[in-house]
Amino acid sequence: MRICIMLGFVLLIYKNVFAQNYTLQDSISDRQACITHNSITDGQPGTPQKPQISGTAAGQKGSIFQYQTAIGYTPSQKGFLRSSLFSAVVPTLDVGEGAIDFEKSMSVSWLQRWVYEHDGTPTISTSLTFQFPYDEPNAKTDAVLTFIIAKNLGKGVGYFNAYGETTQGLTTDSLEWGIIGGYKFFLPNSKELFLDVLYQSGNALTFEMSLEVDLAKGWSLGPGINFTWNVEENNTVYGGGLLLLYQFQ
Amino acid sequence: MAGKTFVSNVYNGSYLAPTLRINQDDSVIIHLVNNLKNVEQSADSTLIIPMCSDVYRNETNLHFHGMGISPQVPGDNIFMGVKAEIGFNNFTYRFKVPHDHPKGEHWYHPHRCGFVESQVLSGMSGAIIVEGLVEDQYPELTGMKEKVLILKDIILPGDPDTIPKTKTINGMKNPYIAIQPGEMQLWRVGNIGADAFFNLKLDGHKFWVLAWDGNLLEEPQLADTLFLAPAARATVIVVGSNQSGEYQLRSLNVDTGPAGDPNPEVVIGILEVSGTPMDNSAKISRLQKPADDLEDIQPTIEAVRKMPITRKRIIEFSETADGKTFYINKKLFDETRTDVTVNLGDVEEWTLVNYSKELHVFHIHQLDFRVTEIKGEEKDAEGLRDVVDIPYAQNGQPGIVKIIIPFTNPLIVGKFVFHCHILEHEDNGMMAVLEVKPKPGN
Repeated sequence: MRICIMLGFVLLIYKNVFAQNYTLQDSISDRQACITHNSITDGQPGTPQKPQISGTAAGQKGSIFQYQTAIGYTPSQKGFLRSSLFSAVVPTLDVGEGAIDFEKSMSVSWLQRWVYEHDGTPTISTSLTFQFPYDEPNAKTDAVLTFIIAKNLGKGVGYFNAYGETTQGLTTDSLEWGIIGGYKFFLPNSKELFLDVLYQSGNALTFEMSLEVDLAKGWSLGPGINFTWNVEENNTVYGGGLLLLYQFQ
Repeated sequence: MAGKTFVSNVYNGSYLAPTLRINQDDSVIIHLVNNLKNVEQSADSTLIIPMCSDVYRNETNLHFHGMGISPQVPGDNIFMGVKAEIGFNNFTYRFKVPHDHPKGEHWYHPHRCGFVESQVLSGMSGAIIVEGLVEDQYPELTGMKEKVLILKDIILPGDPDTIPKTKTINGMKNPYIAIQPGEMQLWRVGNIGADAFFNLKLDGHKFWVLAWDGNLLEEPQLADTLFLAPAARATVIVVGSNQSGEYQLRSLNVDTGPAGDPNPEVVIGILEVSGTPMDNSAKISRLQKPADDLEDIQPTIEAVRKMPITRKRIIEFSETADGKTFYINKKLFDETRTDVTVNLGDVEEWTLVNYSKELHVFHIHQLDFRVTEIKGEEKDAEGLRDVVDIPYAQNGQPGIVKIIIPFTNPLIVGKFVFHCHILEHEDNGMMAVLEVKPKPGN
């Protein structure tokens, strides 16, 4: 009996939350997506059954310059998997300090939009990322879990992210965390401006400003700059980057 | 048009968009490809609704007005937009015309949040005809010459906002329409423009009205004038006068209220009666009897009359004093909010209350309704409608219309909208979301 009630409850949740066949989500995804160089996770799946590929080049003053390539895929046009995005980041290229090298790790992510915005309820999503080292005997697998809220506010979109990440293997001993608050302004001619603030455990505040430009033929361009203030050490770092995304047609 | 050349956004390269002729049980497949550009020929979009921000400019979609089909993808879902960006700029709509769907005039037009008026006003709308009305209901009249009269309004380049929009028939200003003396012609007339009202008067002639908004009347009605609010359609028979000559087709002045846009009297066409006289007196007598098969279309008006009402609601229409922002039940449109929830099978009485000093035109997607009362006066309409104008407030008293809506068609489960069909009002807030939920356990 208890199993039946639980099964019924699960089916009810599935029907009302997961089985998002009603395609208002399409316009939500269009509106709330964030394709630019910043720290916000938008919580939106991709275009169903069309792969996307992105390249990001970024650097900070006094640090190495990095380039990474990511691929993403939303496998279904309806149901649970319509609101999923599976992605992988291929080895990151580090440039600087007199060398060009690949970071010896790969990461894979599963993003799931559990609820899309409707009736005053914001979009609620999670993202789980695992980073797998290879060819590095002492390195360990790490994970990042991000909780995402996105909501239409006024003529733009507000974002809130909270994340926890391991840095010394899959244990809570080395847990770090951070929160992000951001806002997207729609500008004329398919451009969007993002402003956000990231607070990281360890007492660092990062201010970010970035732009999304949707070009023709599935291309989007996202330049961004950031400024980090380490409160305890009272030092500052600034940096910038550029994201280029191609959505297959 | 009217001696002016300009670039406009239209369907298939023509201001007179293709007329889609379909039958009951047909499977319809329409490929929409969005090549819209910013053009001089469009209304300014003030973007009052926060949801409808600039992100949707030049985005478009299709609404199949008057069609009782599913509001879900790939059917009549107006929440989904098709971008103008290459690679994302196409979508294929598919739906099946129900076996008992009303035969008559319907239409298609864009319905993207905030930009409906500008796109329709630039020319994006076309007729849908579900065939068979005359053949099935008045077989004795089969074979009449048929004319589709597409009525639209447009702001011609150089025209200031302050003057009434130019009214056209089939994209022409004051066209000639030919008929022989005594000839019977079937006219399918639709006001498929953005904002204008048409109140048609044909000098020396009357209209035999067979259907309103694609919904069969129980019996033809002989009318002096045809009042066509934005989105309204009429299927009529015109009999050419026995006197040859030219007769003006005029749109009479429409009093839209002190805050409404002017719709002064204007000649919109000329009926030219000439040629060999025809004797159709026997056929004309058929128009004085009821239609043959009222059960062919479901639900019939008689069935709706007998349906018990499960719930009553009040729907209020209002606007700000500057006439720029419009509300339903004091709220601006928000496509992420559900304003009204009903269960499939419910039959509701809605009291539409207009507090504004201008007319509003109520329309609900996927459905037809029965009008029962206007300004306190009971009506027993002989056919269903999908648009009705709500009188403006006078002497501090709001305009009131009562309607009965049968939410009985299982195809309409899902979310869709109701709104004012003066598209300027719709784009600036006067729209709301309704969800029809399936029967529990089904």
